[in-house]
Amino acid sequence: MQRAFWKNLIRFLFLVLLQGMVLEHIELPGHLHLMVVPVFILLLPLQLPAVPLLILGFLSGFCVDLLCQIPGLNAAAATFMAFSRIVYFRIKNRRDAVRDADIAGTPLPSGMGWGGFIEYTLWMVVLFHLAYFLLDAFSLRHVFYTLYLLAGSSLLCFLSVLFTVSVFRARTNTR
Amino acid sequence: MKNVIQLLKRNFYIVLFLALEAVSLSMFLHNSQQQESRFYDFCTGVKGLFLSVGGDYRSRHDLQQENDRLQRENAWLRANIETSYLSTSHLTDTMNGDTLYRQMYVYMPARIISGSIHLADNYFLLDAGYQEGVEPGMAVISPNGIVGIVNQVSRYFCSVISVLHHQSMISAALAESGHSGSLTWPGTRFDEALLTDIPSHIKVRIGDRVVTSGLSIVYPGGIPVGFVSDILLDESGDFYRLKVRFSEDYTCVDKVYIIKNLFKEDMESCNEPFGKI
Repeated sequence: MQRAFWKNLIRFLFLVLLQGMVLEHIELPGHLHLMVVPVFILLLPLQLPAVPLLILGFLSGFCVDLLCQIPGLNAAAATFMAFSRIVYFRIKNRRDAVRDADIAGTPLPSGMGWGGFIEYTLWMVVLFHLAYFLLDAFSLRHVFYTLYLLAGSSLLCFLSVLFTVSVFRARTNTR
Repeated sequence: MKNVIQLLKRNFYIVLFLALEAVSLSMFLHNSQQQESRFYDFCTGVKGLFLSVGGDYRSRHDLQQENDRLQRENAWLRANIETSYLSTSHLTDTMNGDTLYRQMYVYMPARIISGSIHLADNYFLLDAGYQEGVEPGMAVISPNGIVGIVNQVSRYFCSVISVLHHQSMISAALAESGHSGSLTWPGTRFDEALLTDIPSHIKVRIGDRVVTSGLSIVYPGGIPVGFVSDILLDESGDFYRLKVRFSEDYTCVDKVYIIKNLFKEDMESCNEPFGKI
């Protein structure tokens, strides 16, 4: 338990600093954003109750906001994603009648299967970016441009999650 | 009653979610209305401390290129120095001497330590604050073009509403003909703005220079803005909608100048004859 706490704390610090100090200042081709904060919320332990999950989601976004001068934008998107994650697992567990013993550890392909993990990641990543870019644009003035940013940045984030999970699978699936 | 408490207990996470979203959204909306905020000051202060370290390294690294650019900029400043002066008498035939002109604009050098160009509303953070005399509403230019207008000022830093902001509206003119219009940012490309209100009987060619008109209390006249890149007509056909390619590349702008208008209060006391900046 303690090991999981330290692992998640280090992940939190690393991803927030990477997002706020590095990625926010890198201009990608096509004005796309690479967001890594969703990775922290994605990989939080499955047995974590809803209230701490929401607070951790909010905190991760808020810390990025502190570094990026856009107060509230990342916090709102990350809280929305944390809430979506709770709803996602409630629906999924009811549908699949999963036993409580199975709901533990980090959500990884080794536990959920690649199909389940990809479905889960896609939902979360798209919902996070949807909240982020709709709030950022705050209008439907350039709806196609917003959709383009949503699709492109979600794809980038999704690929980075798959890459991270594939590379660190051997080390992280021990939980 | 017991049932209600149980229901609330079971769904407390929904209440918490709504509360956290409300906090986030209120922060976000508060900021987008550009009101004074302690949170903002705190953010800029913390971030400024972090980023000025990185900025110092970057400025040393690019020293050679900076020198070349500064030389070019100095040449431009020398050539345009009279735009910084206000003629206090129009009877130039009969009067001589320095007393005819009074200093109107002064330039304060500053450095951009962070900024965005890919958001719907963009800002820059400069390493100059009220300790150096920076005030909200001052114009900010770079060696190659205009940058924006100072928005909020803390002790050592200030934030600048970039020209890449939907509320940015600048009085710009065609350098050749002198006809002025309003320069706004449509929000699509970070290197392109829109110049409107130029009558369609004027001859305009692609590549024509666009400069600040001087018809405002913020920007002096003649500062480069960009070049006409496309010529369109508005719906009535009476006015142009000119696409303007910025002369400054906002992805790598670093050194800037904050312009102080010494006659701002005098001019404002005359009821802002030109209405906008």
